[in-house]
Formats: sequence, C-alpha cells, structure tokens
Amino acid sequence: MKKLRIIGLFAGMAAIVLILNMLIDPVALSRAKRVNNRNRNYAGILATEENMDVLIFGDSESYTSVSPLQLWQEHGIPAYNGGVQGQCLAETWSEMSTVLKQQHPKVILMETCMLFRYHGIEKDSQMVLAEHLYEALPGLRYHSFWKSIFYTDQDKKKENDWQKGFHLVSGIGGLEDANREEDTKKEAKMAKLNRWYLDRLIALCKENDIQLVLYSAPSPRNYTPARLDFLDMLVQEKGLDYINMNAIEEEIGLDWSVDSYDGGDHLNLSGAQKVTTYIGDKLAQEYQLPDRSSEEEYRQWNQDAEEYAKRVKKARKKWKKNKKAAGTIGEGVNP
Amino acid sequence: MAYHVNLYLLIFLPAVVLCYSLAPQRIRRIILLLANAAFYLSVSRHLIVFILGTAVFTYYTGLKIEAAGEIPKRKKNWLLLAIIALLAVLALLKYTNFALANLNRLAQFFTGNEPFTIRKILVPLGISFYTLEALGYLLDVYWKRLPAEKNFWKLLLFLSFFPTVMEGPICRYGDVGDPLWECRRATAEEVEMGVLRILWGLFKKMLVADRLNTIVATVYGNPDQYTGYVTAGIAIFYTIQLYMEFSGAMDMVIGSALLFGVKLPENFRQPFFAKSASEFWRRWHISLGVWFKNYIFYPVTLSDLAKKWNKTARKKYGKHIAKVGTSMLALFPVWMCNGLWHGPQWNYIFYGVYYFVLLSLEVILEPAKKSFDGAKIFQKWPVLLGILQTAKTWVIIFAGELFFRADGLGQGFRMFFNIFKPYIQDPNKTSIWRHLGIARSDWAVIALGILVVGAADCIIEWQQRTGKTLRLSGPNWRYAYVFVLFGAVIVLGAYGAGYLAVDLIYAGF
Repeated sequence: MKKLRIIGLFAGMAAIVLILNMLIDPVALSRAKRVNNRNRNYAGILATEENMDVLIFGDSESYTSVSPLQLWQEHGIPAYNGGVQGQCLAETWSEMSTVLKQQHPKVILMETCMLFRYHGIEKDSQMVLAEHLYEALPGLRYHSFWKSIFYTDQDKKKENDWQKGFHLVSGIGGLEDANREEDTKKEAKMAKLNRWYLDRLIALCKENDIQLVLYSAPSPRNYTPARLDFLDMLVQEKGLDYINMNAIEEEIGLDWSVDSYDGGDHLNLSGAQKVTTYIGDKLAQEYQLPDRSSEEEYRQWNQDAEEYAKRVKKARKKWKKNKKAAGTIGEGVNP
Repeated sequence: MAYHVNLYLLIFLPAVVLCYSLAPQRIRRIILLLANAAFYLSVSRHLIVFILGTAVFTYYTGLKIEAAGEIPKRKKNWLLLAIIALLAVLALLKYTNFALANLNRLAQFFTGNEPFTIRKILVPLGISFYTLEALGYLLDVYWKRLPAEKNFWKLLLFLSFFPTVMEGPICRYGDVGDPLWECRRATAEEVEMGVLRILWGLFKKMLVADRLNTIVATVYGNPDQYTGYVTAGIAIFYTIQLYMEFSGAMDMVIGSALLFGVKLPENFRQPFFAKSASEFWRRWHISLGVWFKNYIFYPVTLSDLAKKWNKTARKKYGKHIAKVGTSMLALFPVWMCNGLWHGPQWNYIFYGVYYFVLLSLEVILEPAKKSFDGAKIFQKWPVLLGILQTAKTWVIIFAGELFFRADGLGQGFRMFFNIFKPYIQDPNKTSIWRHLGIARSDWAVIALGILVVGAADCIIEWQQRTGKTLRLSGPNWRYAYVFVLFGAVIVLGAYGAGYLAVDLIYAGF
C-alpha cells in the first residue's frame, strides 16, 4: 500500500509533465512568431515549412554577422540564423539535433566563439541536463508561451519574421585600435565537455550528409591571436572547413571605426552586410548552393526580403546619421 | 548545487533517496555521509577541510568538557577554548577583509595610504550555520543539557547534513542528532509531505521571488534614479522576495529532510501576522532567533552582572527600569551578533542595531503601550488595534529590509531619504512598474503567487489560533496539492529562456 501510494504520486507527476508537453509543444510551434526570448529562433526554424540550404548556429557573434535574407537577396540561398545570446554547445546540439529531423540543410555554419564558453562543471552540468530534458520534452522549452496572452500591440509588431534570426543594429561604437592583443581573460582552450559536444555535432552532420563549416566572425575583442592559433590547430585536427574572417578583414573591407556597434565585440548592420556578402559568395561558389529565388515554394521568402529591404534602408539611414556622430553607440533596430 | 537547481532536484536528491531507501539501516548512514561529502564538494571543493576540522574539534572538545566533570575551571577553560577557536575561524574567513578595508579607510583618512592589501578569501559553504550548530552543541554539553557525543560519525552527520548545511535551519543536536542517526525509512506520508514541501518552496521561489529579483535588482542597481513611492514599493517588494525566497528554500530543505524520515524545525511562522518587531522575530528565521535566545539572551540575563543590576535597580528605580536595563543588556549582544552574522557589511550591523533600538523601545514603552491599547475605541473595535499594530510592524519590517538589501550603509540611507522625495513620472512612459525589467505577464504571476501564499498563510494562522482545521488535508488533498503545484511550477516557473537563474540569498551568508 505504502509503495503503491508513492508510485501513484510520482506516476501522477510524470503524467502531468507528459500532458503539458503534449499541449504546449504543438501550440507554441503553430504560433512560432509569438515564441519569445532565446527560443524564438529555434521555434522559427522548426516552424519554417520550406527547406533551408543553410543553417547558422552560434552565440551573438553569429546573429550579428550573417543575415539570412541578404543571402537570399544576393544568392537566392534560403537560410536561417539559429544563433542565440551566449549559446553553449549543449544548446547547439539540442537545437541542431531537433531541427535536423525536419530540415535538410546542405551546409551548417557554426560560429566558433561558443567553443570557448565554459561556466564550470556545475553550471554546465545543469545546462546539459536542462537541454536533455528539453530534447525529450520540447514543450518545457516553451513553457512560458502562455505569456503571449498578454501581448500588446507593440509585441504584435515584433512578430514579423523578416529577420530570420538576424539582429539588425544600426549603432556605431567604433574601435580606435583594432590591433589584437593577448587577453588572459579570453582563454584559448576548449573544455572537455565542449570537445565532446563538438565531436557529436561533427558526427551528426556527417550522418545527415551536411557540410559543417566553422567560421569566426570578425571580432578583435573575442579573437585574440592565441584563440585564432588554437582554432587553426583544431580545424586541422578535426579536418573541418573553416573561414577565419579575422584574418581577411581587409579583403572584406571592414572598417572598425564604423562597422561595430560596441567597440569591436559585435558587428553592426554595415559590418554584417560585408561579412554576409563574403560568406554568400563562398557558399554559392565553393559549396554550389543553388539559387532558389525563382522557385514557387519560396515565394514567401521574396516577400520577406522586400520587408527586409525596407528595414535595411531605414537602418542604413540611421547608421549614416550615427556615422556623422561616430563614436556613439546607437540603438538597435531589432528586438 | 543549490536546492532549487535541476541537478539537485532531478539527479542528486532522487539518487540519494533511492539508495537510502533501498539500503539496510547500517549502510544508510554511510550513504548519507557520502551524500553530504558529495554535496559539499560540489560547492566548496577543498574547503571541505573546514567543516571536517570543525567536526573533529567539536567532537574532541565536547568530550573534554564532559571529562572535566566537576572541575569548573577546567571545564570552563575547555569551553572558552572551543568558543574562541570556532569563532576565530569564522572571523578569519568571513570578517578579515571587512576589518582590513575599514582599517585602510581609517589609514587613508589620517595618512593618505592604504597599508593593507585585500585578497579574496574563499568562505566554506554554510560556515555561519554549522559554526552556530557546533557552538550550540558544546554549550549544551557544558550546561549538561546533553551528554557529549561518543560517536564522531554521528556528530559529523549532524553538522554536515546536506539539506541543512547551506541555509539552515540552525538545528539543536538534541533535537535532530538522534532521528538523523536512526536513519529510518520515510513513511508514505512523509514522502508525500516531503514532495509537497519541495514543490511549495519551488512555487514561492520560481513564481514570485525570482521574478521580483529582476525589479529589485533594477532599482538597487540605480538607486538614485528612483524616489518616492517607487523606492518605498521596492522596499516592500524586496521584503516579499526575501520571504518567498528564504521560506521557499526552507520548504525545500524541510521537504528534502522528510524524504529521509527526518523532521526539521520550522524556520518561519507566518511572519506578516506579527503585531510587533519582537513577535516578527519569533516568526521569521526562527532557528536563528532561538539560537540567540538560548545561547546569548538567557545566559546574559542570568549572568551575575544582570542579576546585580536587577537587584540594585529594583530598589533604586523600580521594576520597570530594572527590566529595561536587563533587557537592553541582553538584547545588545544578541542584535550585534545578529547583524554581524549576516555578513561583513555595515548595513548588516546597522540592521542589528536597528532592531536593538526597536526592541528596546518596545520594552521601554511597555507601560505607555498598555494604556494606549486599553483605550475605549480599541475595546470597542479590537480589530482596529490589530490592524494598527500590524501596519506599524510592516513599516518597521519594510524599512529594515530596505537597509538589509542595500550595497552598503550609504546606499541604504540614500534610498531611505529618497522615499521622501516625490517620484516624477516620465510623461513619455507608461507606469514606471512596466519599465523595471519584467513584463505584464510576470506581474500577473507575481500577484497570483502572492495571493496563493498569502491565502495559505492566512489558513495556517487561523488554524493555529483557533485550533480548528479545514477539511483540506489527508492523502487525497495532498495528491491534489502536489499535482497543482507541480503543474504551476512547470508552466509558470521563472526558468529557462528569458529568465536568469537566481542564487539562494541566504546561501551567501
């Protein structure tokens, strides 16, 4: 009797989790644009019906450096930026393994800054556990979806998915001295946990016949010479394709006095446009990604691109204003 | 590994409870000791030597105090050695930097130099809690309330019990030592109650406290931007946050211990029903108050000095003055220790002095209060008196917590005086409460959480006062509460995307 009561208690709790998961997950995905915070891009990818040829993962360096709709405008490549602030490899694994069940990209671009992210064994173990739970019970990931009941008109304006995960920022926070110096706070090594996840991600891409390309967005604040040396060795060891954009800043035409909004940590719109053009050319030429802009299935993408172009035009105007008063950090356009 | 994180709730605690429940009794002790070590190592790593050292030292000196038997001087010497050594370790680890920083300030003022270099000192987990438990045990042995423990492992199990080591409650060895060592399996009712208490704690912390933390941190981060009702409101919200957070953590602690068949003392008893500052402290962080009462207040009150004063003052100035003098003599060390115990900051010391002054005033004004309470209007409407007393106590509590949360005494005073400056609303913005970092939906959850916890506190208070019980208990009701709370925590809890994990406040003390 005693055992039965205890089993009943835990069985009831398990049933509640399963029921909530079954209720929340489909509702959230059917209204993916209302999913907020760091799950937004994740839900955005899952809610996109068309297949995307390129998926981008990483932390803030990724979603401020590559604009999917610019890739579409310039090369007709359907892409989505799934990067989120402070992303860790456990999150990338969870996100990638879930979205690959319905998306079949040809190339996955992975920004490398998150390879160095480590919060200590306790915090990272908590995060790994949470990600495994979310993988098993995805409804829990969107548990605060009920908040959309309280949506205001302003929130509704943000629903439009014109950015496809990209963060468009028109501010300028120039960097006076772009010389890279060693910074002991920026450790040039990977935690064992991150190595383990990287190997799993490489295997996952191979399994799904996807070309995994690592790239380092230009960022003097994050990429110290030691880190860049480490990455060169790592990609050699793993046999991975790698684009180090920090080594080709001149070729891209980056000007650190106007292409960053926070003093060389992240790119603003102007910087991201230059990087996206370079990456788009590389994807089209070296990975032979087809131009799908005239395909009927992707008609919505052209409409999204039109909206995007309008936003970019406005943001460029702001950026020019900021350029005149260079050195001040402007407001981001995107939420 | 705090009590509210997934690693504790989903892996560590279930694994330990499962091993404990399946193992034979002798092995259960070993399992608990190993679990305590694993828990401690997960947070404090090599600093585990401090709690081990404290246990060895307490065990040894306890035996020595008992062995000194009827030789009072030797007995007293051993006790003094123990007290000085335990407090010295605590002071060295916790207060050295505070003392050096203040000496530097003084030296800076007089000589323009700062002679001392301040280095970061790692403080072992729960040192403030297990040191008081060890001192309590030794004093009980000294006063012959307890025999000295002959079994070192039993004492170690008590001092390092993982559910209490981080935040208390500060237990007495006489109350918890035996049930803990007994290591019996929990009954079905205890398991149900344990799970219920853990979920109740999570409900308080994850629905209310962690959301309030955002707005409280916003205002305390820029204290001079806010004035008037906003600062006053934040003092109230911080008090609610602290109550939900600390009492919630205690629910998780008590719930965890129940899963091992151990009943810990309650640390909160509906504190917002208090009608005076002294009553508030009999309802808030009860175990700390009881410790100070048993080991400082009573011994000082019964000391030769207090007795002498009492005798002389009664003759010269009358009963009331004698009582005031004795009370103040005993209250002063209690509240200085209370303030210092919370940490090496001037605002904590001020917090102690604040309550010392208020509690002393309560004793001084007792005759005036009696005549005020006996006024005709209050005899006609006693509820009115109750409301007035409760409102007064709330103001005292909120003002105290305003200083308690401040980053230094200076900020506390600035914020206190800011309350009396009007807040001018930015005409381009809607209500200020919508610009403090949380959404409307979060406010709705906070309101819901406060309502539910408030209603539960009202029911418990009513039951305790009247001795009546609502027909809302029993196994079926427990199941219902568990399922509702569990669902609420999953859906409404402030975890995952969009929320920052908030560390337990009292774990820092």
